[in-house]
Amino acid sequence: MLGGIVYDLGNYVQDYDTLDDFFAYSFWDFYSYKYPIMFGITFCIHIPLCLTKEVAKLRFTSLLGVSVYLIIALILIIESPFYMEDYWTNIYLKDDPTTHVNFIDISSGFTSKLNFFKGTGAIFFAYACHFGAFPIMKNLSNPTIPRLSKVFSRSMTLATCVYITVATLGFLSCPINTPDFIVSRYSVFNHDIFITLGKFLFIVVLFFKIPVHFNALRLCLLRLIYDSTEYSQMK
Amino acid sequence: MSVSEPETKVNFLDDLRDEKNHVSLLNSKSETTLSTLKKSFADRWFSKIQANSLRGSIFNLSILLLGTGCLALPNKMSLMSLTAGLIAIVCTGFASYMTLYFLTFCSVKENIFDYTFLVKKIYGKSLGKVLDASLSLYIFGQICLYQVISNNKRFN
Repeated sequence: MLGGIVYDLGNYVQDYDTLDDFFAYSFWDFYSYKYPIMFGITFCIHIPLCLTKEVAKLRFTSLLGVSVYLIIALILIIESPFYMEDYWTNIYLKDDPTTHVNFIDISSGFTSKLNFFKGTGAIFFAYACHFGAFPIMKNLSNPTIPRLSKVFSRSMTLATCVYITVATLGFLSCPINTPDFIVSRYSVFNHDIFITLGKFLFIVVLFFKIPVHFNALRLCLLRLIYDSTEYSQMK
Repeated sequence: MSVSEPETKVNFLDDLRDEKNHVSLLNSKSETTLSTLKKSFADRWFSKIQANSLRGSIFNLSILLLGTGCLALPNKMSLMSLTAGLIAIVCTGFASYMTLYFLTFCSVKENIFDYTFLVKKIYGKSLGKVLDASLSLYIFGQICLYQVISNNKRFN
């Protein structure tokens, strides 16, 4: 709920002109549907999973999450030829530079909007996992430097491959007016079942990501308040 | 019992490897023992994922890495150009790996597997508090973001 309020305050400053707009387009619209779903998921999924003391017990939800990202990447790979064909036939105009794909023109990132720094900042945040690496180090059996290095290198390789696939194919399939989330792009099909499935799976992943992050948040808060994490480890 | 058995086997294998690498005590008979105890390909990749195992840790770290930022990357590529975006992804991935490696090196040497306690040990108590506060805010913001995205009609 706090997240929704923060999000709406940010949007209110940027997008909403009147109070009517706020109620029509804010996070709290359709609250009669959203409230039961939000609280149902919180009580049935989040709270039981957040009560686990060790992050290692969430390995199967993590496996599910990784699988879903791979499925989304696969959907993008399968669908991108259709989107590229649509772009080159219907959107691309030889005489209009605004419809051209930006392959190498890095200067577009250094305008007054400073898009290059927005982009690199987002990429840096995409790789931020250091706070969660320590519980994993702690829980790994026989935590020697070669074994830990193996965990990091394999995770980084997997993530980089998924990032490159999603970023390249997502951008090439929708190079003009690219949406914030690539699964929200316009549809070239009448009924795009696969991307709807991808969105659904992505939402499921978000449900399971929250407990993993909550574990790290709980440890941070306990350290901040009590200067110890013993409260979290007590049986 | 079922969890402790593989650990014992791994430790035993590590001991054997140490002997092989550093003391050179393994003869041909021990080599045979080592090869028979080594896990098969099927066991290594398709067996049940044990708690605290290497694969479990890889998936846990991967799901921390793969976030909502992944689906926002095409938009960022459109802001930066395709080539610059790809270079940024690869360089950032390498930087992230190296920083994780340095953190691991420090934590194993100091035997402290906690980010804040490690920072407190190296930089002092006050910076540890600052780190905890900023991390708490960051993770709280991320959790809120996940809730908002999963319930937002613009996304759905």
